[in-house]
Amino acid sequence: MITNVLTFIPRIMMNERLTGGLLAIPIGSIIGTGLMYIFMKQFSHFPKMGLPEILEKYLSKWVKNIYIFFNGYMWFHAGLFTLLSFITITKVFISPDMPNILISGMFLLLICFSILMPTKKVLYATELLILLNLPFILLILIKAIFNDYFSWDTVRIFFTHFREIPSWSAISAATFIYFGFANLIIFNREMQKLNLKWLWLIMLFGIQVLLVTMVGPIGFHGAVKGVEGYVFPWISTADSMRMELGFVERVLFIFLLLHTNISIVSITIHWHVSMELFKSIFPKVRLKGKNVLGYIIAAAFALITFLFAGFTTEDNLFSIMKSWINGLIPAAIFMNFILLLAIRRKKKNE
Amino acid sequence: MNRKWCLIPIILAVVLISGCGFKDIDKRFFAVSIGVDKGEKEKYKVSLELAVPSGDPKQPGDSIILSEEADSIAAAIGIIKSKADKELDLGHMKVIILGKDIAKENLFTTVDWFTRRRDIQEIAWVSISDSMASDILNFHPKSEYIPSNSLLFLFGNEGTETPYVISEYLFSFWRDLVEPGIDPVLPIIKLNKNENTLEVQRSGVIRDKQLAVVLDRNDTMLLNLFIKQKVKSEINVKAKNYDFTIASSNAKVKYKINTKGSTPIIDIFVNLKGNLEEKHREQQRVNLNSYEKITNKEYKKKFEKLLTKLQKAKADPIGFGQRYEATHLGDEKVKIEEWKRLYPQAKFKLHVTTKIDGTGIIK
Repeated sequence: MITNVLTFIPRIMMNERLTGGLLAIPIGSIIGTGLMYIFMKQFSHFPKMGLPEILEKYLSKWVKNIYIFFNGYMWFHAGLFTLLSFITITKVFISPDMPNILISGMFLLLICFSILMPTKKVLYATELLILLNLPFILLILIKAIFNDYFSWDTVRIFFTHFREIPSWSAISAATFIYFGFANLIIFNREMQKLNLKWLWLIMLFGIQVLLVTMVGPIGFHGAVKGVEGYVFPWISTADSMRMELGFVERVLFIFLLLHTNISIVSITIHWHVSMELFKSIFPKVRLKGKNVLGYIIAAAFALITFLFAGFTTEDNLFSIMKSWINGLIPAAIFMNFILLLAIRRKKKNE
Repeated sequence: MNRKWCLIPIILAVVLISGCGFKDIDKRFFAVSIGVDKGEKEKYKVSLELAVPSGDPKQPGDSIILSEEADSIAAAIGIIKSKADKELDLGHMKVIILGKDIAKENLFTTVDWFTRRRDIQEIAWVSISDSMASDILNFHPKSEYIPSNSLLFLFGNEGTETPYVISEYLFSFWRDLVEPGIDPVLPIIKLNKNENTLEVQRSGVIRDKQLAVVLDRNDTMLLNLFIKQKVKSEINVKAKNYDFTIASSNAKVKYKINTKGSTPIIDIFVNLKGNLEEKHREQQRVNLNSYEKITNKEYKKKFEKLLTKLQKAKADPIGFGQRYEATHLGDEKVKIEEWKRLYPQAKFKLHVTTKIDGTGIIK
């Protein structure tokens, strides 16, 4: 949830700040939590089962193969986009002298290593990293809002545009931050029981995160013309903060460090899910008595990333991302239908 | 465990990569401040103050200044690089001084380089110099221990706290510069050769990307009450029978724009709060009530004078235009045009309320 806010979601929503970006936040939150509720409810019918197992049991084989492949493809792109924007940021802000290939290679090595871990370990690692980083990220978000040079009038200008109808991409982008639930299709293998009691808290938190994501850069860089000039609005915002008594005066470097951690977690989760999905449809490859399919998939991921990093520019990558994000809500609804079908067949069998 | 083999390339990569693209700290020059002037032959004359690292912490820091002329700031920096024997590091540059002549030209194109560069901090202080910017850089006050530190203390409210400095970060300057409905204000640094000090008392309002209005010391203080709330200031009241000073520790200024009538009315509420600090009428008994009243009256006049002065110059450093946009619905372009039409006709209504808490140690 916090990760995606820091990569390309702000850019999509910031483009619409004066044309309905504000209304996208509540709409996206309602759609997001609604989908989350339905989805979790459906999955609670299948304890300790991932999507591949469910489909295997209740649907025909070729439907399952096509659908799982499609999902794996979607998940791979989720990780890929985060990784690519992350590589650009590293190139621009951390080490401008390093060649692109080397940066991507470093990250890919680390990520491929972590996605090959068993599902349970991925979950533990995620928990640990998020717990370590969350306080600092919240600190930066709060510090942004209470800055002396924060211009509340520009924020009020942003709020005057509450009546405009948001575009589909803005709504999808706002919904996207709630899409973490979809990772259940694999992680449900490790889940015994799903608790739906705290869902409202997630929605509340999500609305807050979305608001801060929009309001922060607007207050620092201006609503009408200022903020659109920045390529990475949030990084420039972090650079505009000052911690007089901190260890490092420039918040930028702390922000980048946290950003690195959280991004890697996010990419790991997405690619792990994607890899597990692919694993369930391809036949096992044996080498000296061991299944090496996971390694082959990881290598393929890395190769495609290299190709993407080499052949895309910032602008066409952004348009690909946008069309990808536009397709997310229909895809989630479609998955709901498929699960509904599975639940029906399950009840019939019993 | 096959996975362990993945670790080997990672370790190898870490070992091999750490060397490239990185220069050691003793092979770097840290630029602490930059001055941009109008060049004699070419467009810009850029001066960089470089801190010379010294091994002995007891020794006061030394610095050198390198200047170069070129048609763009980036080109000038490029030429300066050839003069320095070490790698220039702009990551610690915290003070940007714009020369007087350059401030009268289009500032947008000048500041472009600063905001575009990734390594220049957005929290660098921007200021205008009264003379050449390089003069300011060349001057080192006696109390300065680290190069450029005195300017930093002045702007950052870390050392001295004065109401006469309206300090502006690079990002907030850029924001006010590009945003319609507000004009940025920059502090003006003056080199006082007789007293051997740098003084920052006046400020310049930038309109249409150019230095338009220069405010004197008292106006700067009043404007500072609007821009930075909670300014500690000495409020001097001089009227017919009165002459006293209040030390205000807490001043609050709020304003509302009323556009219901044919001409917009801007209601301004000023709240001054403080202690009596000095009195110049020997025989007069202190009557706080009447002192408050006379302060209200005096400051109402002063504020009105400042605001009409700014209005005549069509400058809007307080951001009335922004407030207008924030309180009205509709398309931004329409609002901006509308405010441009309305602002020259606007009337200011001032409501000053003073609260003097006490008379100090003596009655």
